Amino acid sequence: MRKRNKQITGWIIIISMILLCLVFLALEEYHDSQSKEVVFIPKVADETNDFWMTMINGAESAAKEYGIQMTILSPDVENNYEMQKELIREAIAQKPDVIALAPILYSGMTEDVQQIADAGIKLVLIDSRIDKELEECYVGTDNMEVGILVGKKMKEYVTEDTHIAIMSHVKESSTAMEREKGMREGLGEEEYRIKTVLYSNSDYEQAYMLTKELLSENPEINLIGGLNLYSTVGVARAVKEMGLQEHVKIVGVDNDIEGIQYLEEGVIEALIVQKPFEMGYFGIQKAAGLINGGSVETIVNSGIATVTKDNIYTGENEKLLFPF
Amino acid sequence: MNRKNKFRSIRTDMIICFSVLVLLTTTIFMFFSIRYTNDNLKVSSTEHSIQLMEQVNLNIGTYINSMKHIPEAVINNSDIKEYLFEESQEKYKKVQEKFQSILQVRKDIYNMAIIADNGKVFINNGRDQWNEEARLEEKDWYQEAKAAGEQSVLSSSHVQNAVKGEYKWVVTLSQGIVNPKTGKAEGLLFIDLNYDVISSLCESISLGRKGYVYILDQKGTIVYHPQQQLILSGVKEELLGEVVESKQKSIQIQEERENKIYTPLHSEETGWTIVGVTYSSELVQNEWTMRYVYVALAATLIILAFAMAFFMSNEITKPVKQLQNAMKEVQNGDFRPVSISVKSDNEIASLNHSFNRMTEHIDELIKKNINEQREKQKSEMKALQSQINPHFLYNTLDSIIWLIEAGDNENAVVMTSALARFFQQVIGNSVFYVTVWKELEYTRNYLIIQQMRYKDKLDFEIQVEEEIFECKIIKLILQPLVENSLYHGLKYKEGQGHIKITGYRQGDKLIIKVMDDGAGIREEKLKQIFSEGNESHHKYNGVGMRNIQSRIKLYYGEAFGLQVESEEGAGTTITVTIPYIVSEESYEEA
Repeated sequence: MRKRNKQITGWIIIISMILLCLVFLALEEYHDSQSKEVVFIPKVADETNDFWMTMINGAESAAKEYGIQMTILSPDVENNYEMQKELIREAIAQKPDVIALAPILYSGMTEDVQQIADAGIKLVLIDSRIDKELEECYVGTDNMEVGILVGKKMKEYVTEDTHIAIMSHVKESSTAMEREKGMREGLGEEEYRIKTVLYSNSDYEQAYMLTKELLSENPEINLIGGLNLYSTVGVARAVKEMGLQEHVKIVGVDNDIEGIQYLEEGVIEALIVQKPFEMGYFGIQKAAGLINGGSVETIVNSGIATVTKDNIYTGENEKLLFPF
Repeated sequence: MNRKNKFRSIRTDMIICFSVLVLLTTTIFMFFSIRYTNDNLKVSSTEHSIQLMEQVNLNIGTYINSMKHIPEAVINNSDIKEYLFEESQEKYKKVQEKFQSILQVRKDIYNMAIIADNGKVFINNGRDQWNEEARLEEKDWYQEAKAAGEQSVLSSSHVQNAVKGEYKWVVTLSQGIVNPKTGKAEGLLFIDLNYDVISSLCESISLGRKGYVYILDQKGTIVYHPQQQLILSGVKEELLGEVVESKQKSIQIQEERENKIYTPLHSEETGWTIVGVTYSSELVQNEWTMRYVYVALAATLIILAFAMAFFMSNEITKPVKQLQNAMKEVQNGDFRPVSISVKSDNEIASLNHSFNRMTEHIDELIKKNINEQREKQKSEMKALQSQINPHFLYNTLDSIIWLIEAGDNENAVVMTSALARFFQQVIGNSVFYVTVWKELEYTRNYLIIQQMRYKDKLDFEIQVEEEIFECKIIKLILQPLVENSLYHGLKYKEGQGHIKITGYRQGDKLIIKVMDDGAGIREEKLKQIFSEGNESHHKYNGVGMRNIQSRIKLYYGEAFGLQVESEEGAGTTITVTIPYIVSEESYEEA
């Protein structure tokens, strides 16, 4: 009798254990499916900076869609790389599955980024790269393609007596070099018309001053390519102020309200714009892909668009130029 | 089949019953709840989605409706018409006042403007700068508004660039203004409403973790979509025109691995279609979560029930078990009243009660029986004690006759008187205990007679400490022992035998020894001396060794009795051990 009783007790305990194990396993699985953590470190998260806010929006949209727990750690101002280094360490301490980073420096923070890889955390670079290939995936604009589009657009305005000037931004920076190279490719056989390449150092004022100088000294210049926002807007300011908008055609890169106004007014002929929403979206989408164990493309082109006076308010461009 | 294998305790039965019951009910309950909930989940989530869309629609409709009275107040205002269609500027102030009064109340209006075909424009407070590059006539919303004539039109969402330097997302409500002179709509009023009101309304709706809300206008253009950017650039696809056309309450779309459920709602007020999108994978996930919760609940319940079953069956069967144990003890012959504690008041309690009564009763009966047995034994002993060995009487009397015949009167007198005293103690004395002195006297008389009969064969000696003379002893203990020594020891001895009786106190015990130097007892015989069935061989004067032994034990207890030491050819010593009790009463015969 005792033996039998013990047997029954044993069975009951075993069955209960199995049931409990099943429940815990199931809950564990459920828990697992929930904890996909990604830390996104943009260059800045400032309400007045449409580009980065739009990128963060895109990242959030993907995070929601792919069920990712996303934390955003961002420097207070766009070029605070010391703070961004600090945020990288903070992100590593959080032990997420993936860190999505938009590095401020190309070669000044390689060691810090190396720590991400050393900690076994997967890395997705967004918008910019660093001098060492540590990332699983890079999502950003193809600067070569940007240049090509600028060049091709400029080519449309080439006439017999066209003289071209280029307003680049930072000499020997990777984006400047790539864009210039692309632009030359886009211009094709008209490349010889380039008279000069100037560098604004990503400053409106410098671009403005350089343009005024250029146009007063070389009045034959009638087509200018701006290779980033500061260069483009600076050039346009100078051209408008000098009343030369009928004479000088401008093709630029990136946009802000001032740039769009110049586009509406016809000072700027065309803008090649990046797609920050896509950048953020693809960045987190690829991060999700990495978490789920799938292999992802090592380079993802987030795409660009050409905007002219006539298509500002049509379809995609309206949302692209005015994200909010 | 073995009976033992078939045996199952009530407790086990109860546990099995409980467990089966609980398992069965829980399983059935779970089965039906999961089924029912499963069926309900999809329907209820779709209904929930529809309800939410109605809520969104209601909110947007209320917002738009609250604006609709504004055009009425403007387009029929004669000051405004005059300002728009006449050359003069004199009504400028009136128009400004009118606009200000409206804009002051409605802060959510971004822009309000009137524009005439002749190029006349008034916007907001009149101070905002008109964007000369606006090119409104190229805009979809403007063309639609113009096409509608006097009808009011609600545009899709767009960026308004009418004010210089401002590019805000708005929804425009517009209505044509009729020139009273021509009777045609030659002017247009437009009011730009804050698009954020609509977008934040959609964003605030929660349709699971991944679900979302979007809005389309009649043509299937996006008014609001959380991923508008991706759809416009072709990265993602979305149901647009087909949802607007659809008359169904819900549409299911298989997209990659995801199953999406669309619940479109066509709004009367705005002409828009508000679409809720839920992911059925989330429903499934919910479903799984729910299942886990159910299973966890059931498992917990079952375990709890098992524990309860153990505890309860233990509690219920405890008295039965007690009863069982008590009965086992009784079965083994232990009739001490077991007296099980009776706590509750049920069948088992009354069973226990009866059992207690029964054991008590049996115990009483057994005690009574033992007493009766004792009494019977005692009376048997008495009967034995009072027996006279007829051979001894005959032999003695014969000896006396011989003495008389031989003329030895003196010895005849001694012997007769000894016989007389001997019998005096046997006959007519009903008391059970006597003093040691009396017992010794009795034995001495016996020995005197025997000594006279076997003159050269017997010699005796009594050395008893005076201290014990007044002690109590059962009658007829020593004499049979002496008789025993005489007939078994000395009788077979060549020459004169010697009997010595000693007595002393040893603590609370009284020791009397009867020693002879006779033939002794063989070892194997010695062993049997107190055993049953041996009585006949040692029966003298009707009283054997065993009898004496059992009498001592009966009256004094197991700690007392006889001890025989013997060596063949050297003699025998019989030791009587009894408690030392000083007699208080006199046992003189009445």
